[in-house]
Amino acid sequence: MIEQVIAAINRMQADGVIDRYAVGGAVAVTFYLEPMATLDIDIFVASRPKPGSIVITLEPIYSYLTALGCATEREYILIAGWPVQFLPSNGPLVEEALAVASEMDIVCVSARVFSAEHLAAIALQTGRAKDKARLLMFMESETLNKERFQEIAARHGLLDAWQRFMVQFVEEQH
Amino acid sequence: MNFDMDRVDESKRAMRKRLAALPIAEKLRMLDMLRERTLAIQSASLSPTRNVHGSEVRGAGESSQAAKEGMMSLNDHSLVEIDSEKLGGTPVFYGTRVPIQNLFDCIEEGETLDQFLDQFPTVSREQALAVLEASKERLLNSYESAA
Repeated sequence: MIEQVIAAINRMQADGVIDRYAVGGAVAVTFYLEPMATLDIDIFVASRPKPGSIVITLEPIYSYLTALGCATEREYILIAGWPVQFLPSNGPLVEEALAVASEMDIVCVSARVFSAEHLAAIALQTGRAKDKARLLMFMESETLNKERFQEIAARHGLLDAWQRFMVQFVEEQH
Repeated sequence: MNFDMDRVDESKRAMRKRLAALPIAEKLRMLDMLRERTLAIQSASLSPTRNVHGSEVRGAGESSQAAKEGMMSLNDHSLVEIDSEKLGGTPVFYGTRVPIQNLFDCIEEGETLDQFLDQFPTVSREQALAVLEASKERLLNSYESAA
């Protein structure tokens, strides 16, 4: 169950293996919209290279979880039956999303989750078909603070992408 | 029959709104169930090998498996994967999210192959060696062609 995955990640954070984390991808979107079918869980982690190195490594996460008996396959590590992908932050937008992620209660655990506005901005930046569909769903929903989203998009140089998205999906329909 | 698409749209929106308003624990349970159902459907089709998503491991994936079993060919397509959904299309070791660049960065920083493999456990020794070998061959071949 997803709650067990979150509990394992919270333990890993409490044990000092990771610093900051946040749930992203379809699971995070599900916190704000209707359930998004997915086969894996994306966990973004704040990461810095080792002192004197330029290479970011997820080795401490893998070591910790494999020591607990979790199996790895390709880029995934299996926790409570779910393939979990740990993703180091790869740019200023994800860094910011990690920094301001919200603590959300499930039942027995709480999870750090990207804000709806950051999820929408990341979808705009990533720009795959499924991201554009996700962005449209956010736009239709009442959970997205549109002013905050536009402010984030402007701050991260996404206004051109936003204009293209609007022309493609909104203005062409009228 | 009457197809009032506006009413269909309205009904869809209302259903999505109801689903979105469900307690998060319930929505996450639905994700668990959706995944189990997808995997059950996938496993119903005959396949000798499945990955963690329950989908078949075929084609280039078989090459990756072969590589991990020590049978890596020097075909770049079985070593390197470029997928716009992975790190924005950065070349990575096949079946991982580890950029090829990381191997060269580690070596330039004075780390050993073992240290690289410890840091990136999803990359097999055979994959790393095959990338180094392919890189060496390219370099030497370029000199042979120039000669």
